[in-house]
Formats: sequence, C-alpha cells, structure tokens
Amino acid sequence: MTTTIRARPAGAAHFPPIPFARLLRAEWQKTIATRAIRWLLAATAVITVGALAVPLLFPHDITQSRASYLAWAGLGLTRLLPVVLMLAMTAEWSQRTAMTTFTQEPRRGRVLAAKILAGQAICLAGAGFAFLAAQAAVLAAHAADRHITTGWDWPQLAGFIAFILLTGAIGSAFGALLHNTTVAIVTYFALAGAFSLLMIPALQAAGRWINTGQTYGWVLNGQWASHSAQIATSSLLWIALPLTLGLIRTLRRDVH
Amino acid sequence: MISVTSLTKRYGPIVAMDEVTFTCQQGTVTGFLGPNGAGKTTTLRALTGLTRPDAGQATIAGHRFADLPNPARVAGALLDASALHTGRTGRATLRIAATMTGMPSRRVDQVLAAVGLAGAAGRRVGTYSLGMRQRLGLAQALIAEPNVLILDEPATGLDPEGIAWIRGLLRDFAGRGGTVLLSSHLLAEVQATADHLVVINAGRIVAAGALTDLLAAPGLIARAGDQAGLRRLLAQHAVPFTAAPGGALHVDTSTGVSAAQISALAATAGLPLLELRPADHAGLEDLFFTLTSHAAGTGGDTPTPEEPR
Repeated sequence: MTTTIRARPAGAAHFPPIPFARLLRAEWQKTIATRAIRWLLAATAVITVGALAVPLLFPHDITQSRASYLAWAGLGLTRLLPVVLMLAMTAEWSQRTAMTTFTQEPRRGRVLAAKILAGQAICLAGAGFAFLAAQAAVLAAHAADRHITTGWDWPQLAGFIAFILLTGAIGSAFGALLHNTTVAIVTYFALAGAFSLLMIPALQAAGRWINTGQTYGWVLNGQWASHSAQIATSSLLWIALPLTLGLIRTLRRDVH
Repeated sequence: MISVTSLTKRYGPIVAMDEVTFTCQQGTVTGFLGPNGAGKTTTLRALTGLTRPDAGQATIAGHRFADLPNPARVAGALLDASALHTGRTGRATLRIAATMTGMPSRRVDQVLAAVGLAGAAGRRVGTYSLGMRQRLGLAQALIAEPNVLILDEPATGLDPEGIAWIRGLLRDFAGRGGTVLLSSHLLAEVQATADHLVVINAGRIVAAGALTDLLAAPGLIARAGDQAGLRRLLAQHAVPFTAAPGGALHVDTSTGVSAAQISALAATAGLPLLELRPADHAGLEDLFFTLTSHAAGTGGDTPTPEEPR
C-alpha cells in the first residue's frame, strides 16, 4: 500500500500530452465496457440476422442478389446502432463521468473527436459483422438450391459501408448536441417519424434533400453517385450542423 | 503547489465565488470548510477547469489546470463519488482511467488493493454503496501517481473504519511530499486530518491559516491564592483580563504580555501563583460557527487572521 499511494517529488508538472491514439482507445473501452451498450450490440446482432431472414424466406418478393442481401443486413444493423452511439456520446453527461474525463483531458474537443472516431470504428466493426452475416445468408440460399446473382456490385458495397458510417454519425451528432440520453433517443426516433410525412407528394421535393431515410437509401443501394448533392445536403443538416453546435456546447458547458 | 487568486463567479444574482484567494503548500493537508452553498464545490471545479470563472485564476504546480498536458498525473481529483458510470465494473472504470493517463494495467490492481476494493472489482458500480464509490473515486484519483489530490467531501458515506483509513492515507500522502486539498462537512475529521484551514462563507474566504493558529485561543489562565491581589497587580501593570470560569482570570495576551512576564510580576509582588497556563483551545466547531454564522453579505465583520479586504 505504501508504494501505491506514494506522492512524487514536487515540481513535476510536465508529462507528455495524451496521444490521440490513447484517447481513441479509452473511448473504445468506454463504449464496449458498458452493460447497456453490450445489450444493445447483442440486440443489434440479432436484428441483423433477423433482417436477413426476410430475403431468405420471401424469395418471390425480394430480389435474390448478393447486393440485396447486403442491403437487408445493413438495414437490420442500423436499427439500433445509432442508439449505441447516442448512448456512448451522452453517457459522459447522463452518468456525469464528464467530471472525470475532462479532468483527465481538459481539451474537450479532442475527447469529442475521439468519441466520434471510436463510434465510427464501432460502425466499421458492425459493417464487417453484417457483411459476413449477409455472405452466410447467401451461402444458405445457395444450399437451398436458390439462384442468386453473386456478381460483385462495387458501388453497392461502398454504399453499404458508407450507409452504416453515416447512419452511425447521425447518432453521434445527436448525442454530441443533446447531451441527454433520453432526449437524444426520443428526438432521433421522433424525427424518423416526422420524415415519413415527407413521403407525401406535396413534400416529396423537400424530402429528397432533407430526409435521410430517402437520401441514405440511395447510398445503401449504390446510387450515391447520381444523388450526391442531396446526400451531402442531408448530411450537413443532420450530421455536420449538430456536431458543430455540439462541439461549441461541449467546450462552453460547466461540468457538474 | 495549489494557488488560487481572486477567483470570482456569478450565477445571475448569486455570487458563488467572490475574490477567492488561498494557497496550499506542498506536504500539507488543507481542509476547505464552509456551509452548504458557500462556494466550496464551485471553487474546486474552477480549480480543475470544469467551471470557467468570470475572473481570477487558479494554478497547480504553476500552471492552469487546463494547460497541464496530462493533468491527472499532476493532480488527481475526486469531485463527486456519484459521478461514476453505474453500468461499468470497478475494474473497467479504473482500466479506462489507466488508459487515459498512460499508466500500465498492473496499476489498476495496485490501486484496487490500496483502496480495499480488490474483492468487488468485478461488480458493476451500480451495486456499490456510497462508501465503495468514494473508494473507487479515490482509486481513480490516485491511479496516475499524482502529487496533488483535490477531493470534494471524500469521507461522506464512509464508515468510521473507512474514515480512519482515509485519514491515514491522506496524512501519509502529505507526509511523502504530496499536497492535499479536501473539502468536508465532518469538522472532527478535518480537525484530525488537516494542518491548514481555509474557511469560505457566502463566496468569500473568511479565514485561512494553520489549524493550530486558527484554533489557538489567545490568552492565559492565571490563578493566585490571593485572587484580589492578582487583579490589583494586573490592573497596575495595565494587563487586560477577564474573569474565567472557576474563579481564575483569563489574561488577554494580544497586547504581547507573556506567561514569563506574568510569573515575574507575581514573584516580585510576593504573590504565589497556583495556576498559569495557556487558555483552552477553541474547538473547530466553535470557530466554524463563529466564522460562518453571519448572514450572507455581512460575514466580513469577524476578526480573522487573514481576512481578505
């Protein structure tokens, strides 16, 4: 005990700054070492596999292609993934751990950047899982003697990954701005509900620019090249804007 | 080691800190006392960069906290034991702290053992008692081997054995050259642990200094066989005194008169003294209430050793 609580001699105030890679590792640990997030990730895996049952069980309604299986896996994965990232982003405030985090790294912008990147790393890991699950489903369909178009559709594969990263980023951005877990999750799903109003004919024109349900659908289906302006606009509105405001709020806020 | 200069912060009409100024020396434990809402917590949060003061500054080892490249290695902070993630285990909490501060993972087990949580490390913090959270928070503050500790109410929720343990830990830490600043409501605990005191009331520092100086009641208790003779003698030599309980005299030494001089005066006058000793020390509780019992805004009229103007 005496060795572990030793105080160092005075004057030693200069330790090397915390490298960004270490902040990133700490944020990754924070995300996966939390019970609620582990449950959500387990549920996400179940929903992803469940989503793949749709093209498997309804071959006459769903296009039987590798690309289609991938899209279903991506949709399944992203039902709860943004919630995981909102939780990771808001826990510092809802669980009040910001008090510890910002006394370990007072440069709050770096912590926020590490959180966003750790969230994107979770998305990439999720994309890897969903990709493998889709391949397994394709193999299962093959085994059932079903004809599947297996040619690689590169724009769609890139779109599949981008779709997951972008959808996760919305979760991170909402969490960064709203700081409160419940408020962030409710706002996210309320907005998704409001977006469905943009499907009615009179509002469709606007929806094409602000409804991520629609614009990210183009991303997922590999049609991003022809809709890049709409995709960029909706991303600015729902990712870049809340992240910027959230950064300002995080830098200024008193921690208590 | 810790230097706080003219920190001022207003929340609307409420002045949380009004020109708060004090220092904490290396190798000492400084107790930070004040009633609820006096500004203790605001001061500690301004010191650790969590709250931005309107004016003034605070430094640790000569640097603003937010300018320290890896501040947890210089100053460990436990500001609120309930500000721990309830969904993580004790060990995961400390592993994250070790990663952040760049400490090896074996350090996690060292501090777990040092705070007596090795057996509960695998349990979620949500199942911990307040005393266990205080221990975990302290482990977190200690993990990067700082030589400054900033603790807000660290003994709250600890049982008597835990309080004795934390007192030993803090005394040991200061004895090895560390600097400790701790706020507390437990006056007896502060009296037993701290060697310096800073008392805050309504956002203003009302007393600061060594515990022994602040608690010393200036004066002597004197008693003679001929009590009337002693009264005449002291009056002749213009030594102020008052009646003390039990028939003795309480001699005011603020004029500079010493026990040796009183003794010499009595001997010269042929007046045998039965008792001559320093007056009893005032308790910290008396001092605390004397300093803080005034309504907000009128707390400045109590004579104190280092009252800021």
